[in-house]
Amino acid sequence: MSDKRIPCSVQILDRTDELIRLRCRGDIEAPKPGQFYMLWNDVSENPFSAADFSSRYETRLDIVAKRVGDDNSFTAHLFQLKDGDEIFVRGPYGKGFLDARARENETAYMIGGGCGIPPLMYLELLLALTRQPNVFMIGARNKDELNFYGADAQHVSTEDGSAGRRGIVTDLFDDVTPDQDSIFYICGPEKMMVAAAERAEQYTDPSNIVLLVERYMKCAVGLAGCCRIRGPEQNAYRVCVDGPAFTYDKLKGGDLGCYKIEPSGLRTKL
Amino acid sequence: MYIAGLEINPPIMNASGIFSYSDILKNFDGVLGALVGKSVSLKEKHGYETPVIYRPARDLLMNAMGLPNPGAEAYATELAEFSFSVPFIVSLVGETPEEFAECVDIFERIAPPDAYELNVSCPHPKGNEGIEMIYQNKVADVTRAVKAHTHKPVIEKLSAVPQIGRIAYQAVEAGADAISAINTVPGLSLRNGRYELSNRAGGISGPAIKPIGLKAVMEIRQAVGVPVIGMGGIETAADVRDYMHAGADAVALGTVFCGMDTETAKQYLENLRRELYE
Repeated sequence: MSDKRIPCSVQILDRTDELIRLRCRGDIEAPKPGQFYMLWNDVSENPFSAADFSSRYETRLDIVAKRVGDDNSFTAHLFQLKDGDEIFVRGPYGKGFLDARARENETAYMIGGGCGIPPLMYLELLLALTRQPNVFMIGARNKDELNFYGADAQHVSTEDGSAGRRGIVTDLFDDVTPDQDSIFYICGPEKMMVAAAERAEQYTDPSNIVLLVERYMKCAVGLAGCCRIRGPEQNAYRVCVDGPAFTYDKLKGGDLGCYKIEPSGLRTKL
Repeated sequence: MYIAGLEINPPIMNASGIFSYSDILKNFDGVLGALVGKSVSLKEKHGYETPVIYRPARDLLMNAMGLPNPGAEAYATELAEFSFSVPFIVSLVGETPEEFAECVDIFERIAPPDAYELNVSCPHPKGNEGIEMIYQNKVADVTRAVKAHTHKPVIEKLSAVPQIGRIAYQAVEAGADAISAINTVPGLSLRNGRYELSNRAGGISGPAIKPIGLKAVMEIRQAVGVPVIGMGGIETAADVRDYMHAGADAVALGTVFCGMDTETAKQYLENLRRELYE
């Protein structure tokens, strides 16, 4: 882990009105799947999961961002970047999927929703290297969004039915019967993760279900405290250092899907 | 170690601004000798835009958070859900003595803590607060205002300003039961023409400021008889002993936790305690 901000040259790999895939070339340290980086542009600094990384011919990190906020927002600025522009990256930070739970000889069930798909695709690459079998279930709003992610998944759902099954990603459990006691990796919007984890729990113990939690973050090193998330007991984890990958038993019955933290640190109902 | 009858054992606590909230601090109940909350103001504050921290070197962390906090009422309401086995110290920040007093009233009504720490030293406040209290000569007034609204021990949190001993003396004369020092040291994080923090100026912490902290603690020790909580760059048992040698009765830790997950931080504190007291 390095806290130094690494200057990177940007390449826009793909973009829609809403989504952008950026490649950052620079002297970046390799991430484990599920780890994240802080990207700094002229607006502010924000966390992004690694969507892909390679250091074979050149060191490069890919991230996927969704446009949020107004024209002056951090992500709006990302959409204004041109090839060759500079951006700063520090990281990688946090605990990845396999730090939370790894079971090498079991089939890994990966469930991704929307922007949660790219970090799982990076995990899939790593699982393939170790020849760990996996079943990939993904859900998006429509075919265009799926094409943007470019995921090659066995089980697909879209909200408008333009690809795969019409519905949401948890509906795919109707098509898939996971092995008992298998391991799950889930990434997506918080409520989707809770719904998916509840389905997965019918097949395995919560300690075999790994969720990649996205929370508002300021520092990425555990100092700001604004990414706190309470577990079932009163005590809170800090997502940036204790996560972002958590097993479901640590979060079940806590703040996940119920409470969020405002930039002031105020804990409010979702 | 006792502050006006309040036992702090072991005499190791977190620096205000680290772990910050009741639910994070709950992890360290009994591991730290006292738990110190985030500086809380009367009204909710969102703090500065990111970037709010930057670490240009291992021994040097810069931050300018802008005192984000949910406001006294919301913070106290959350605190009221919790009970701790060690003292919980509420840290307050404000622009006027009246604001401090109003915050005290809120806490005494909703979630009375074991002690108060008065942050009159944040070096990069958004408003007319923090170190402005020292610059505007309001330290004694703030202390008296708080003491008039609570019988709990009051700790004055100071920065390494010139003549810190004199300011500590004024605080104690006004009723402060202990002094804690130092807050972060002001600095500007500029590199290759770019400001590394959104606020530009920030506070330096980490091992780089240990000599500054030691000097401040020594000056305070020479000026006042009340307990002194020393902090600034402490990482090892040897650092703690140096602070004790300079005159501290207790110590607080902050930047050392940078990047540590909860379990690692707890283990680190257990090891530190063992090394110091066994």
